Amino acid sequence: MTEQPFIKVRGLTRTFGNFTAVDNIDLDINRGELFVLLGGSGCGKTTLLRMLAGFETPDAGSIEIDGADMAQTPPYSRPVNMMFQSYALFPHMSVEKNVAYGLKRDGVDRAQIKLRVGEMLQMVEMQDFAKRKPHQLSGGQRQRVALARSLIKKPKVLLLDEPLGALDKRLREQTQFELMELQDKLGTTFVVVTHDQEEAMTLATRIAVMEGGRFMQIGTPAEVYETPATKFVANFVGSVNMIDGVVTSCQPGLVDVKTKQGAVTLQAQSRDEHAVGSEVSIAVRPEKIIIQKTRPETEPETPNVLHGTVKELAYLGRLSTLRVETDAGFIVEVTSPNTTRHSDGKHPFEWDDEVYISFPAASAVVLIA
Amino acid sequence: MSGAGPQRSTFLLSCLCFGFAFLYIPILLMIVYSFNHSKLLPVWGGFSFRWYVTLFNSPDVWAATVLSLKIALINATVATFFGTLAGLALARFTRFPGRTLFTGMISAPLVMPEVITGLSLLLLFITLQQLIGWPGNRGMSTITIAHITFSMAYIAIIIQSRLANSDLSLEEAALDLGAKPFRVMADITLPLLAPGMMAGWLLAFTLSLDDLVIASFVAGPGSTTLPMLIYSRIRLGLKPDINALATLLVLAVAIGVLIAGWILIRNQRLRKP
Ligand SMILES: Nc1ncnc2c1ncn2[C@@H]1O[C@H](COP(=O)(O)OP(=O)(O)OP(=O)(O)O)[C@@H](O)[C@H]1O
Ligand SMILES: [Mg+2]
Repeated sequence: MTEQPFIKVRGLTRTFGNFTAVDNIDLDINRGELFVLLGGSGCGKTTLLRMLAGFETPDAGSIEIDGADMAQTPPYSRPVNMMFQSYALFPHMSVEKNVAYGLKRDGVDRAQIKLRVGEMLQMVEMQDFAKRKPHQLSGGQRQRVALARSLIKKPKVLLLDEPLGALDKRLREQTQFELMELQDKLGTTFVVVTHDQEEAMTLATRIAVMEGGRFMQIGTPAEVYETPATKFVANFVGSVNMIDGVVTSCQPGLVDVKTKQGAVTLQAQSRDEHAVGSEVSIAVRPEKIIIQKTRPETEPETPNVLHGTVKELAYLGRLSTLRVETDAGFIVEVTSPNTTRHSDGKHPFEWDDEVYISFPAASAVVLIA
Repeated sequence: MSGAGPQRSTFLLSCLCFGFAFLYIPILLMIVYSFNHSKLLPVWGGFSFRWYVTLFNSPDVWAATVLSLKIALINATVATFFGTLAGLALARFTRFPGRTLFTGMISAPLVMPEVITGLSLLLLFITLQQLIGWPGNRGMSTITIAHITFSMAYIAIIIQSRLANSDLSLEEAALDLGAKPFRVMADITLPLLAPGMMAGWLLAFTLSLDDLVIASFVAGPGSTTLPMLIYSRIRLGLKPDINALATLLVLAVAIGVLIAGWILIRNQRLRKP
């Protein structure tokens, strides 16, 4: 017996005038998942979330949550709570009252409300601020209150619209882990919107990459990163070298591609069939490329070895990013970890160094141009 | 350019001083003369509360004051209620046909010459009297209704602009937490509007308190408001007790406006964290 998806979205569409913000989307989210919607600005993430919460009426399609169709259910009766991008804390109520609001509306008795609000504030470590008003809190504290308020009713699904958007980098990273811990502890299904790919990778059990109101790819962070389905996904999630070329041969699992620039042959693994002569791109992540001063001792027929010169070099502390101009003419970005300490300021590579770069065919992905 | 800066600013500054002097010296003069012991206006006869005492002992001044205050109170309260509803309708229930027309129309009473407003209301009351026999005689009720019509427009606009600038997600958050629309209105929208409503109430109160033109049109015999009383006394010649009365009126209006401004500013600071 296969388990029914907890959230089941079919053919969901929302248009504003003649602009389609969400375009015929199908989506299955399982119980207890931490599902991340990742996409650039204006791609329809918020609109999709608002349809799940019931603030936006779909033009077509259906939403089912835990087996119940949501079409006729107003926002105040949905088993869903939302944490707003702006937090939307009620400015005229204290922290305590904000958090208690949902329970009050449900008619929970006072003693019970007091108890649960206390527990919830404890959980987000805001118990000392119960009497304060939202404008007396810092950004991070407000974020915690908003989280507490949206969790107090123990919703089946929690929707979070850029929950960490207003926090600085350090606090953000710390909060990411707290959020994951919390989700793990409560077992609530989380749907998180973000435009930050690192955040998506950190948080998600699965990621949906969105563009122009559609899903480009849905998968685990590793799937999305290692085997991007399209050039957009490859570019959006992490940085990537995209080398255009034409397929010259396609044996099972291995594709040979002659690059447009320089006409060198590169090899990549691929599960799909590619017709000889079709235009493709080879995508390689910068950290999967090995950079050396001497020619690597590989089998002579291994094609993915290129000679070039270092054109740019950026020292980023933990690693360095190098841009290497190959003899074939195209530029390849390489990151190399700084495993040893060079206190004299000398780096293993310098500008205009002659280098060899190489990558195994398994590290490259063939994407249709 | 850089040389013109300070020069221009001295010029602007003197303009400003002149403007303010023009505005406030007459009022200051009036206040000063209200404490003048002498009966003759331009002669300073020493400081005294004489005219205030005269004022408190004249029954028609008392009657007019009570009438004006009554009208102002009822007007402010009723206009705040309906003006708030109108502002809510204009700002929140966005997609009804002819909304733009309504928005435009609600501000019409603000720019309409008072004479026109007064005249048209008078016509309305006369017509009504012939059709349904009400209002039997014009007086406090007709003045109050007339004041409500224009005060409402001011309040509707204050409320509408507050709502237009406010964060819709607050109301959505309340909905999301299980509050039905009416509950959202009571718990979130109205509390957030309260400062606007208070300011509006004070504004309506003062507008009503110093209206002369519209009240004159729709008043009947025996219903003399304070501004009407002042105006009629002036026509009989300047008398110092009127200065005292006007000074008190200025004081009342100034306090009202200051409190309204204070409420609005304080609230803005609270809301911008
Ligand atoms: N009420 C509306 N009326 C008209 N267009 C809208 C409305 N709401 C959203 N849109 C449009 O729909 C598109 C998607 O908006 P949405 O808010 O879902 O984007 P988003 O992915 O959340 O972007 P961001 O990361 O910037 O928040 C945008 O182009 C936006 O202009
Ligand atoms: Mg958004």
